[in-house]
Order: sequence, then structure tokens, then C-alpha cells
Amino acid sequence: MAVVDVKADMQSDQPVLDVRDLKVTFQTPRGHVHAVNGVSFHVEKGEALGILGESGSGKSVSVGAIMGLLESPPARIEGQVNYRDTELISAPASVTRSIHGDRIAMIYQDAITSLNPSLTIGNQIGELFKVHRPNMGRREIQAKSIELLEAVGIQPARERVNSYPHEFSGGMNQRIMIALGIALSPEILIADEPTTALDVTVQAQIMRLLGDLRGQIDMALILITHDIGLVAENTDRLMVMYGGGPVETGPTDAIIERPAHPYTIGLLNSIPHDDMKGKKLIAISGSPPKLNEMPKGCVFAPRCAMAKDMCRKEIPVMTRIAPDHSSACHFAQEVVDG
Amino acid sequence: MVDAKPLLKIENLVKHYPAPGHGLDKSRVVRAVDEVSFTLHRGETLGIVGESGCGKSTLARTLLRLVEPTSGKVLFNGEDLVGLSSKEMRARRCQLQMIFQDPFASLNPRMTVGQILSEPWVIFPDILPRAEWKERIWYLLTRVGLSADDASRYPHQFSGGQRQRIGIARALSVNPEVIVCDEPFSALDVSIQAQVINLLEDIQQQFGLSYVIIAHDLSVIRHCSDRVAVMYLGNIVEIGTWEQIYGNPLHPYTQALLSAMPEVRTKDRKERIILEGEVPSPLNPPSGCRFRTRCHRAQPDCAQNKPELRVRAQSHQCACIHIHD
Repeated sequence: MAVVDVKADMQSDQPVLDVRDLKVTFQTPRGHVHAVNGVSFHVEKGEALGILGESGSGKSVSVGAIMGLLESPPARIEGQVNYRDTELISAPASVTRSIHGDRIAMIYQDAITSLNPSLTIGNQIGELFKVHRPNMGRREIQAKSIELLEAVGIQPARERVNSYPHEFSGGMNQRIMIALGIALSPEILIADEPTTALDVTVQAQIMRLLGDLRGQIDMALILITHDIGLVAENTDRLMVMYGGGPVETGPTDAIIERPAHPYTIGLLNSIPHDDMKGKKLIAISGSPPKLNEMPKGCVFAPRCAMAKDMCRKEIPVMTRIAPDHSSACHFAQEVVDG
Repeated sequence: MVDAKPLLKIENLVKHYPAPGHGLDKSRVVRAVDEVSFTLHRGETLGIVGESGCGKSTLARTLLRLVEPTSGKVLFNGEDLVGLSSKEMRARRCQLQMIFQDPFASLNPRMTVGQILSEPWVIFPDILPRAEWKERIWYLLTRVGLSADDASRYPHQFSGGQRQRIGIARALSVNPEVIVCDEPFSALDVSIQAQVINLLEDIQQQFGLSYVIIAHDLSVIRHCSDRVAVMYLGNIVEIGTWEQIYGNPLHPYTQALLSAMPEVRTKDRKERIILEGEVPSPLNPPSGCRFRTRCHRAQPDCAQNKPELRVRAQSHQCACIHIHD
């Protein structure tokens, strides 16, 4: 009896996804580009993790590596991506095929280019089942496809299942992609800027839908975005990325209330809150580093108002400032204490 | 109160495009901008917000006659720009400039930054004698946060934020009075966006500029604008000071739009009004109030008459028949 309990506990303690020291380098004619430089994070069952970063921060390449979407060469991938007991980077395609798209699914920013324009949406959903659930019959697939479209709010689903992507609006196509993403009840859904191409009122609809579905099938969400407001409202934990690596990780609320990295502080100050009306915004000077010309030491040092000599020489490591809150700044504690 | 005489006065501006695939049927049109009126005073910033397809970019282009309005007036310093010949209009364009959304597409890749900035002086030799070009280019570049050496470089050698600065310098090179900015920040990363917002505010004060800023980002519009107009499907549904629009929004669409804004801080979050569906096609807008098909407060009579913009308070106008004082 006791043994069973321990086992059950272990099961729930183990994260569904555990990424360790992920590195992605691209070999280009102009030298090596370090797109991702040592990213580690984990996702617990059912939780929502936000990955926040600007263009070139490495957020999309990181998940590309996790999903096995990067062609190698030119990409060189190092580190570990553990889905439960399976390490995905070294695993053969026969193993990853049953995980990618099935246990870990992904949705993209631009729904209309991600969907096949020459197949009805019913066929596109059906294809997933044919590949991943070969035992399902035609009728069952049809019924399940209609059920999925209903779940994402496409009405009347019975008729629209025979429509093509161009017959839907941007928001509706994003819903269809979500239907594809959740079709096999994945444990993790990776959403890469899922609402960036959408208007705010439609964004609100889509985020509510994702939240509802997550509750229904106990699915973890990795939300990748550049929008701090979006992660603040929709995630439990957050990883802030800059220049190819994480600069701060922790509970989303803790990071927003007590940011421990000068870059996070800079981002929060860059948003025009209502109390900044009539005042100058406190902008971060300069621009993000080019990936083939990374600065020595801390990647943020050239733009950091607090940078000291040490920052330009030594690469900072993740330092814990609270039980689940870490910052890659030499002066993390001072930053938090203000 | 601002100068009584507006610098720019837009009256019943309309832009209809012929509907695709209906070449001969002139009755089928896309009503991109429909009967839009507003004023802009000297030194003021008017923000225009709305979702994609609401006509805000068409409005921006129609103001400068980059697209010809179907009807209506654009009064600049009392003179109607719509009736002017293209030669006369050309001269006015020095006073009315535009900054575009995409800093990658709006600069000629084959010209150096110096050439881009001096091109208007070739066309309008009266602006600046040739002997002063070099010094002026240097001044403009340093003013927007670039360096004098950048004059000999090409656009592809700059980042997105730097290119937007070049676009701003180019607009400034002809000493304009009004700059229309069409989504000036949306192609920029968050950390760069704040730099460009600050820059636009600085040069507004220094050069006494008036802005029309078009954006979909509500927090940016709140920060930059003195007055705000909210557009929906070709119409202005509400216009007022920024305090009125953000503090006391009257139109159900404005209320829903503001409530949908993701907020970083818990204390700023409002109860969310989730709108049904999406913006209908401007080819066939709903009868009566165009917002009624998505409105959470729609009544049967909303389908009958098109609501007019009515004054609700000093400088606050709203187009909804179900708002009573």
C-alpha cells in the first residue's frame, strides 16, 4: 500500500517536460550563430509556462528544437529534452513520432499559412487521427472532428467541417489550429505567439478558449510571446529570455512584482502604463545583440544601466533569489532589493 | 484651451473602393472610410485606434491624398486639400508628412541615408540651399539619435528601430507642421518601442508638431494622445480627450476594446467583455449601427437607424442610441 503511494507521488512530482542546458548553433557561411545558449526549464503537469522575449531572443528556436523541427545540419543541437522518461534529442524518429504532435503539440502565429489550403479542415483533422490513431474508423474520425470544432467554437460544426481554410477569418483559422493542436489530447501544448496576428477583442476570445480547454483536458501550456500583458494574465510561471538564453525564471506574479534582472525591469518600464502619462518612458538604450556578435560576459551588459566591469567580463549564472525565482545577473540580490 | 482655429479639419471624409470582382456594378463598394469628421489643433496629438479593417490606415492615407477620397473635405489651415491639383498638393505635402509602419519597406534600399534625407530638397530646392545640406543631414541624424557617419550607409545596415528613426528624420527634413504616423511602433520590439515613443514626443515639443497617430495598441495611444478617436468599420464611434475615452468610455465597443487589453498589473485589470465573432465585412456592413452584430448591449432598434456622433460632454462625442445622460 505504502509503496503504491510513493510511486503515485513520484509520478506527480516528475515534470512532464524537463529541458536541460539546451544549445542550438547554426552553421552559416559567416560563422557559427549561437541562437540558443544554455536554456533549462521544466513544465509541470497542467501548468502554464510563459516564455517571454523579443525577436532574436531564441524563444522560437528553443521550442523548434524541443519539437524536432530544426534540420540538422545546419542546426547543431546539444543538451537534453526529457519528456517524462524519454530523451527526445537522442531518440530515434520511430520514438519521437509518437510524442511530437501527439503528446506535445504546437500551434503557430500565422494560422492561415500553417493550414493546408487544399484540404478541408475536416480532412486536416482527420489526417492527424489516421496517422496517430490508426485504429479509429472513418465514422469515428468524422464524429470526433465535429466535436473538436464545436469545442473551439466553430458553428455549425457539421457543415463547416467541409470548408477550406480560406473560407474562415483569421480568428477562426486560429481556432481551427487550436482544434488540431488539442485533437489528440496532448499533455503539453506549445503556443508560439498564438494571438499576435489577431485583434485584441479576438485575442481575448482565443485566450479564454485556451484557458477553458486547458482546464478540461488537464493540459500544460507553453505560451511564447513578446507581450508581457499576455503572459501576466495567462501563465503561472515565466521564463524571460534575452540574447539566446534565460535571464530570469520564476512565478509570473513574483517576476512582475519583484523583477530580479535589469532587463525584466527595463521591459516592464517600457510599457506605457497609465501612471506614466505625461512622463518620459524609461526606455532600454541600444538594441539587442546580433547573434553572431555576442558581447563578452553578460549579454545584456552593453544596454544595462547598472553594468559594472565584472559584467563585461564574466558570464553570469542563474542565481536563486527566492525558492522558485532565479536571475542570471551578477547583482541579482541588489536588483531585487532596489 | 487650444487655439480656436483647428490646423486640420476633416469633414465627412469618405473613401469607397470598388468591390473586387464587381467591376461594372458600381453599387457594390468596400466602405473603408465612411463619413469621418474630426479636428486637429496645433501642437496636439490625436490618436486613432481600431482593429484591423476599421479603416484607420485608409483614413491616414486619404488625409494626405496618397489615396484619393471619394468625397468630403480635408481643410488644412482653412484650405481644402481635396480640390487641389497634383502640383499644388505636392507643395502642401511639405507641411503634411507621414511615418509608415514598416521601416523595412518604406526606405529605398538603393539610396544612402544621406540621399534619402536630401531627396525632398532636390524636389523642393527652396527649402534648403545646397551648401547647407551636409550640415542639415548631420543635424537631423543626431536629432533622431543616429550619428553623422550614418549618412553614407544604406538602410539594410540598420536595425528596425534605427530605420524608424531614419523615417522620422526624413519626415522632419521638410519642416512639416503635421505628421501622420501609421502604426509607427508596431514593427518594433517592446524595448525599442519606448525609445521611439520618447523620440516622437521630444521632436513634437522642439518643432511644435501636431500628430495624428494611428495604432491598434491601446496603451501606446493612451500614452501619446491628447485626444482619442475610436474607429469601427469605417466610422468613428467615439471621440474625446484621453481622460474621457480611458476613464469614462461611453460606447459599448470602446468599453469592450479597453476591457480586452491585456494588463501586466493585477490592479489594472478590468472585467473582460468578450465580444462575439469578428468585425463584419466592410463590403456589406450591418444596417443601422455597424457594431450591433457584436454588441453586448444591442437592442432591436439598433438595426434601424445609423447612430450619429452626438456630443455627450465637452469635447466628448459618441455614436450610440442607447446612451442617455
